[in-house]
Amino acid sequence: MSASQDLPVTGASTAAVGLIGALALGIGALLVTVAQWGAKLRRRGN
Amino acid sequence: MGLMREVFLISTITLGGIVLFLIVAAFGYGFLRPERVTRHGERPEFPRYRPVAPDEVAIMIACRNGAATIAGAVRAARATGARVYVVSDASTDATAREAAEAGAEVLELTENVGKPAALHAGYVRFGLGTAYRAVAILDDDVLVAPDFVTAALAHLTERVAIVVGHNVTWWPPERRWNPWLAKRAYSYWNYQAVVRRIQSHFNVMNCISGSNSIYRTELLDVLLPQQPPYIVDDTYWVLETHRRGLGRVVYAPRATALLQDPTNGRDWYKQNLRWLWGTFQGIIGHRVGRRNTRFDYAYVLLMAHWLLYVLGAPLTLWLLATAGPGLGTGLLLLLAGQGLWVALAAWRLRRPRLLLFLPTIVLADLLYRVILVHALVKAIRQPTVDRCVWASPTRFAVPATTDA
Repeated sequence: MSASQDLPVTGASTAAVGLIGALALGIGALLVTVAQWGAKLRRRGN
Repeated sequence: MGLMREVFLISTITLGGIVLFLIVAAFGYGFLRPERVTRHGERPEFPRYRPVAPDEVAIMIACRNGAATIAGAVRAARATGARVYVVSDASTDATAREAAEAGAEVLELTENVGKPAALHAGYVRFGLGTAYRAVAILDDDVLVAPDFVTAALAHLTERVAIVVGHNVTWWPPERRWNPWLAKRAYSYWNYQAVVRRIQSHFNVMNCISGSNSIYRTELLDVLLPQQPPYIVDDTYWVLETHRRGLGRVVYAPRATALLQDPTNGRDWYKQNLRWLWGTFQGIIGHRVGRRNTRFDYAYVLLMAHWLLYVLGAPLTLWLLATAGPGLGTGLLLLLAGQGLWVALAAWRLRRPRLLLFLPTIVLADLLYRVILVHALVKAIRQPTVDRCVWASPTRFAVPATTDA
């Protein structure tokens, strides 16, 4: 047994982290897709 | 209003500009360095493991001076149909005899080596790595349900390395008014219903139950010979499993185990401090957050949550005192919010009396912030340990049969 199992996930701090996480995840996924698109174009060009 | 509009416009334009810049930069990065951008479906996969049948699972318990509880733990484990192996870590009481009489095969060590080293000794001596395909490692005070092994095996699919069981606080009638058991019963429910399920889905579990989890022997062959440098052995195991890409770590909500939890404030504080100390040691030692993986990303988010959680309490109190409906009304609102969660737990756990513990749950929750900070300081001062040895909280004897 270990770690943070006594730490409840309720309230505003969880919601804030969830929001930040979701935003970061969304932007991250967008950036990865765009980078893959750039790489694809380059590979085609070669 | 004019100022607010200006602030809103400026921040929107700035953020929009940053995002646009990042998009252009990402495209440029992919175009200039196409070899560094992975294609879809190119990610390295976990090893593909073979299926495991119930008779290919052993149960192992390492135990030091657990005579009061070991017989009950062994009997419950035997009821799953699996063979049970006990390593007595230089116990000075009747642990070995009690375990053997309850039906376990017993190895007695003469020197106190600590739980992970004792587990390794038993694993080697009993030849579990060759005789079985998976081993459930339990604590000496854990009572697993008769279907624990089959319920866990349902989740041990070909990419899975560790299946984490479901924790339930053993809350017997004679201790029904113990606030620490109430707090833990609520916390386990909350943690497993939210964090553990989400982490299991995305394979980013940072914390497993060392007291009731099943590991593939291919994994134990790698992990057990190592001496964990942290005070919590399973923290090290789960971090190594992620770091080495040894397989998924999943949660089995129906593989239930009853756990003995601390029954007084001192033991509760000490146990949480040790767990969190181990957690922070793992974060420091494994350099969590420094690699570009989903696990690191999720862990950084979790740490952001801890930060907000610790800072949030004084901040909320200050805000309530200086703005809004006033301190008294504000505190009542907060209590009502927490009350909703506790009510949900009381319903799901079928323990209506949990609602009466709301004030103590809130107070313990405040104290938990102190433990988080204490553990962080402790981990910075002592980032590793030589031996994974500790004293467990006071245990109480397990009756022959229990329906708790």
